[in-house]
This record gives sequence, C-alpha cells and structure tokens, in this order.
Amino acid sequence: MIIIKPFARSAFALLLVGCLLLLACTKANNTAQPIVKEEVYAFGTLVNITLYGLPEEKAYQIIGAVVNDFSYLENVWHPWKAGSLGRVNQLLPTKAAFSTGPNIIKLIIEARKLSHTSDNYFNPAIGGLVKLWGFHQDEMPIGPPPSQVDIDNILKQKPSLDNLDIKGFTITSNNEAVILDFGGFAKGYAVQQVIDHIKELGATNAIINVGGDLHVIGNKAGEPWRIGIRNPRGEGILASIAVEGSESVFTSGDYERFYEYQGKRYHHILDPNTGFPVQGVSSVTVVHSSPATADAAATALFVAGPTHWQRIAKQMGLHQVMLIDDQGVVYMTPEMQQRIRFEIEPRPEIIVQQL
Amino acid sequence: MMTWADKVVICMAVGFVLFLYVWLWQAPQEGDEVSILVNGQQQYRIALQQDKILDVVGGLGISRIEIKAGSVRFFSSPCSNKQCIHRGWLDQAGDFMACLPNKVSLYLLGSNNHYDAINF
Amino acid sequence: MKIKLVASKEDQLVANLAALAIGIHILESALPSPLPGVKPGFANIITLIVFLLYGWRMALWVSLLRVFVGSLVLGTFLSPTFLLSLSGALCSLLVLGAISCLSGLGLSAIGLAVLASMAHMLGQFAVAYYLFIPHQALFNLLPVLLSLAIVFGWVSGFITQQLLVRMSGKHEPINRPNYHN
Repeated sequence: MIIIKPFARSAFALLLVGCLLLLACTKANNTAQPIVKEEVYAFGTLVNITLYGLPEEKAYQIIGAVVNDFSYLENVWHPWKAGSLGRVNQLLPTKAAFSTGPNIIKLIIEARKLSHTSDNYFNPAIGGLVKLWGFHQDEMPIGPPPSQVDIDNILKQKPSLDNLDIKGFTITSNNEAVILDFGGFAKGYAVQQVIDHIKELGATNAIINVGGDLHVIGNKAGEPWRIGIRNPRGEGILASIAVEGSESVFTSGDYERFYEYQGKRYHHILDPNTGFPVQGVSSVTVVHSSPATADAAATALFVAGPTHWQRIAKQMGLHQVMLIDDQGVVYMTPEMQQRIRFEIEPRPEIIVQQL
Repeated sequence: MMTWADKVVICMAVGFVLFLYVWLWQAPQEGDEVSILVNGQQQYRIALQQDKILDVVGGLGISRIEIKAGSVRFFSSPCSNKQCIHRGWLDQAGDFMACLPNKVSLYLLGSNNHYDAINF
Repeated sequence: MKIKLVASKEDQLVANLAALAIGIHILESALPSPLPGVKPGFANIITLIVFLLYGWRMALWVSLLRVFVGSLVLGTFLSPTFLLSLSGALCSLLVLGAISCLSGLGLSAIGLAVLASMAHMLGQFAVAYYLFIPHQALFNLLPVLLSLAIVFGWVSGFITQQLLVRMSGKHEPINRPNYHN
C-alpha cells in the first residue's frame, strides 16, 4: 500500500493547484489553428488572402467580404469604366463645378498630400498620358508608342492635383488636361480599407496580397510572416523579409504592365515630367505601416530614380526602401538592409545610402 | 536490475527503431508539389519528381505547364504579354506564378515552405 | 429508500491509485513538450506498479480512470488529446495483457516499461495519423518518437523498480511480476 504522509499530501496538493494554474495559462496556446488561404480574381488582378487563427467558417465569411469590398472599390475607382471615377473624369475637363461621393473626395485629398511630399513624382492627374500610351485598358496595347507631339500637348499643360479645387463634395478643375488615374495608389488605398474592414470582422492575423503588393497584420502563431520578393529580372526570389504587426510591402516594377514594340519595351510607370516610361529603374520596394503611402511611395521613388530617391523618400517620411536599377544594382536604406535577406547567389551589388 | 529478457527486448526495440529510421527517412524529403488553380479553384496537384507536360484550360485558352527536374514553368499561354512565360522556372516551395488573363496560377508546395506570400 | 454505496476495499485501492495517477497526469500536461503528444509518461509508472502488485485488471481500471478523469479535470474530454491519451493507454495495456498471458516472458519492470511505452507511442501515432494528420510527413517523426519512447520507457521502468524496492521494504527488486487475473 502506498501511504503518503500528511505533510507530503498537502505539499502535493499545493503543487497540483500551482500546476493547474500554470496549465490554465498555457493551454490556450497549445491547440493548433488553421491557416486559410484563398485566391480570387478581383480589383483587376489576382488577390491572395491568408488568414490565421480563425475558425474556417469565420475565415470564409471574411474572405467573402474582402471580395465584395474589392469588387466595389474597383468599380468606384476605375478611371474609365462607368463608375464614380469614370464619371468624374468625364466632368473634369468641362471645368465646371460638380459634386461626387466621399469615396472619391477622400481619395483625391489623400493622394494630393502624397503628391506634395513626393514633389509630384507621384502624380495621379496624368490620366490623359496613361490613356495616350494605352495602359488604361485591361489588355496591353501593341504599339506603336504615341508621338512626341501628342505627349507634349499634355505635358505643357502641367496637369496636377493642385488644379483641383475641392469644397465639401464639390470639385472644380481649372485645367482641362487633368484626368485622374490612381493606378499607383488606388491599390494601396483599397488595401487599407479592406484591412480596416477585416479587423472589424475579427481578423487579427492576415495577409492581403493584391497582385503582389501586400499588407500584413499580426503574425503566424508567433512567427512573423515571411515574404519573398521576386527578382525583377530573371527567375526566382531575389530576397526575403519577415514582417508582422501592421506592415505593407509594396513594389513597383517595370515588368508588371508593359508592351514591346520593335524591340523596345514600354512599361506603365510614366514620368510626369517627360511623359515617357521611366528609364533606368527596374523596381522599387517600400515597407511602411500604411499601404496607401507605400503604394504611392513605390511609384514616386520609381520615377525619382537612383538620383533623387533619397530626397523624396526622406520627404515622404519613409525608412525602408529598396531600389533596383536596370543594371541590377541595389540601392537601399540601412534600415532596409537590416531587414532584408538576399536569397540569390551571387549577391547583387548593394549600395546602402542614408536618407 | 535488468534481466536477460529485458536486454533482448531492448535490443530488439532499438533494432526496430533503427530500421524505421533507415526505411522512413530514405524517402525523398521534399515531396514538393505544384498546385495549379484555374479561376481560384484547384484543378491539379502534381508532384515535381516526374517530368511532365500539362495543358490547363483557362479563361482565354490553354496554358501549357512544364515540369522538369523538380521545377515548373509556363511553357506557353494565350495571353498577349507572356509575362508568365518570361518568369521562367519556379523551384522554391512557397513561390507562385500566374497568367492573369488566362486565370491560371501555379503554387509551389513543399515541406520546406519558405514564404507565406510573394511580393512583386 | 436510502441507497447506500458501499466501497469495497478494492474500490478504495483503485480510487487511491487512480487519484495518484491522475495527479501525475495533470502535472505532466503542464510540462512543455518538444514534440506534440510526447510526454515522459510518468503516470505509466503507476500503471506498472499496479500491474506488478495487483494484476492486469487493476492496472486496467487505474489506467482508464486516469485517462477519463484526467481529461475531465483538464477540460480535454473527447478532444483529440483525450483520444490520443486513450489509444496510448489501451495499446500499452494490451501489450501488458499479452505479456501477462505469456507469464511475463522473464521481463523485469524495465523491459515491461519499454514495451508498454512503445506500444503507447504506436497507439498514439496510429490515432494521430488516421484521425488527425493523414500526411506522409508524419512518418518522418515516427522513429524519433519511438526512440524517445524507449528512453522514457527505460527510465519509467527503472523508477518503478526503485519505488517497488522501497515500498516492499526488501532490498531485492520485484522481478517476478505477480499475476492475478
């Protein structure tokens, strides 16, 4: 017979209680949670949604909401199709005052702030140029590129968001060349709205990836999300970065939307100053807490190029920037260098520059 | 402490476990596969060990997918841009490629999943 | 009409031993485990002691009580953890039962513990594979789990022996299990 002395018995009991309390704290974390991943075609591109830590049913509910949001926003902000922005673009050149919804007004106001801090390298008022080049349609144009005359006609009018006077919900343009195309911004802004929405719905750990540009919230069971950054030239993954909390990773590249005509490549990121696709840069990656800022910044810095990117990045309040020129040379901030890990051999030439 | 029978049993147990190590761990560790989706729905899930050519019907037409030497790529596609083809070969678990116009996408799955998402 | 439940001596014995086993089970589940489902299995020491002193039937009772009551206390009743626990216990009891039918095979507590531990692990693995993770990759884990099972089994067996020595007051460890059935 096993006989336990009274003292030992109480000691044992105390130990048991203590362990039960310890258990209560640790048990919650021990059950495995599912990761739900889904891809959908929305917002004109491929959207990948990853959710962690939610029961499947809830996750699919949230995914449904995300799809709805993106569909709605795509319509509202499409510069050319019949929708809110399409209508705005028809009325702007008339230079008459007209009213539009808060979705558009807010978009313009936010974009305007970013235009200012980027010295107009990010300029969504050049929709006329975008259309001229043919990048406004879903199908890529086949060429030839527009004539210098046509480009100059628009350039000399210097369209900019500052040409818009906004009072309440009424807009008046004083420059008939202003056509709005938020290509380098709407994605980020939409992602922000969708992220806010899924947080309301109860998501705490997620990745919303819209055509390669993404924002993450939370993490994956305590581990940060690992993001692979594609090589702008060639195959495979160039570098990886671990993100968590609330971070965006946005990349602008000359390989996303382009066409080739007579051996030359024309891509969709136009320099508002020259009216031509930016030369000399193959991609810009920005990490920032705001997807809208990250999106506009990636576009602005792409235009700024290796010469001006530091100045613009500093003005825009960015810290984690990587720019790759068309020779494959990598420029980045020290903060970015700390976070990024290159996955290719040999490592590219890297120039670290303080802002 | 330990009887003769104990020692026999333990030796047999250890031998059995060693055998398991050899037998089970020799199988290829990767088990890498490519998951092919059309319009968001998984249509195929194929191991990368066998070379293979696969025609996938998408929204625009047929994308031909080639698997060779543990890697996968778009061989041909009905899109105008052919970006998917220019991307070349994928071989890292976690990587992905899509032909947007044709709504065909490839995801590389494996035991060594490097990435949760791809930024480009 | 008053219903009086009279606990026999045997009931009391079972209850005491089960309580001890449950206590150890609970303590053990607070320990972090390197791999899911891998516990040192020290509650099995109680099972072994009971088996050696009081026979297989008693060991069965104590073991099952440990699994059921332990899971109720921990709030894992009918959960995957519970199923794993149950399958492990049943498999190791089966093996002990088989050995019992074969008159012990000349094994001491150590040999018994190793076999019981391996059976326990195999039972848990089968449930984990067929019910929860039917993935080939799980088999990569099996040799590792069984290695640990051998080690922990040996340790359990050793502790069992030492406890039995102290309990019986003799200096000779009990090597010949006492088989009532």
